[in-house]
Amino acid sequence: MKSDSLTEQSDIKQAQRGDKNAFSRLYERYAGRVYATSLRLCGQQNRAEDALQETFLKVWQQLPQFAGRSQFFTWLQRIAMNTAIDHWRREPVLADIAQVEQDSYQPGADDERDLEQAIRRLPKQARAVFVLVAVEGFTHAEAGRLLEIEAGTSKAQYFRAKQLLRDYLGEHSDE
Amino acid sequence: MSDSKYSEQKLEQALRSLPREVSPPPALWQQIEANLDGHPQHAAKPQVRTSWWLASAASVLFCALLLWSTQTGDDHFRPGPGNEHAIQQLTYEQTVRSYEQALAAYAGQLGDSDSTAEIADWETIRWQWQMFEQARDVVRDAMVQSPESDVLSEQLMFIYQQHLVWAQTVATTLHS
Repeated sequence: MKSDSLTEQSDIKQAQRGDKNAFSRLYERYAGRVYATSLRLCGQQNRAEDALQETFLKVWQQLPQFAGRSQFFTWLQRIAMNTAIDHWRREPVLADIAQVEQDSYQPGADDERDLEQAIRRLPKQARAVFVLVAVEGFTHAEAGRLLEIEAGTSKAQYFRAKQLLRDYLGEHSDE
Repeated sequence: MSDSKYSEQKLEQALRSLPREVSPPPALWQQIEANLDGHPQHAAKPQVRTSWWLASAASVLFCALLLWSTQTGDDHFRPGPGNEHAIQQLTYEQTVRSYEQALAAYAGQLGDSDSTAEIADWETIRWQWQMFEQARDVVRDAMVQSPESDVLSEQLMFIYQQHLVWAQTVATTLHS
């Protein structure tokens, strides 16, 4: 664990000096987590890929300003979250459900895949609130601040999301 | 409460089993790498970007303020003695809450078809509304580049407040 942290610090320092190999190791370490969040928030594979690319380009550009006062992942995650939310904002309110079904994403066991697909079918705002609160562990006040909605609206959307997810997954289990 | 066949407990269980990571398509790194231009220390400094965004937002906002105050001659709208103090007392959360709620209400009032026909400069009002939205979006975009910038947060809050004061003033004028 300690050596992991030392390796990471060394990679950060090298990447700050412009070493792309060191940066690729940071990408390998964190791209999966950033992509999971982006995919769930944005709901569509192409948007999530754009958000992931944009995140790591910003991280590369801003690395010289990273002073190590916070954990590297905390810093990176903040950039990733803001970028994914920015892509989420650009999504039309009426999302294209057909696109969700066309995406080839299949992460693993059926239960996981069903829930992933169901999350991506949720309406835009309900999906974002659910991902931030239930998956990422934000409070409603924090989620509200990020999405620029009231905490009360966040709570209402969260309960709506849970109900819709149970309905979607219930339909599936009937088949 | 719910007749769903998928229980709350089952949902919680499925949620706990969600993977923390999802592998992105392997080709993505190559695309990113191709866009890593040179040494990061030589990349444009965020401060420069921030200044540029701030200048853009400020100029857009200035146009809206100037046009509005020139046309109405309404000193109440301008931030200054009288309304500046009240504006600054709002916290960030209060501002966001007020902004979301009040803007929806004012949009409803301004969009009232009975009154719009009587407003000679309706197009100007719509244009100013769009200017505020553009100024707001410019700063929001800049915050994606520099999420930790206090200057940008303050700028966004300022635009929210000014947009609200403007909308309130327009609505009051229309209904007086």
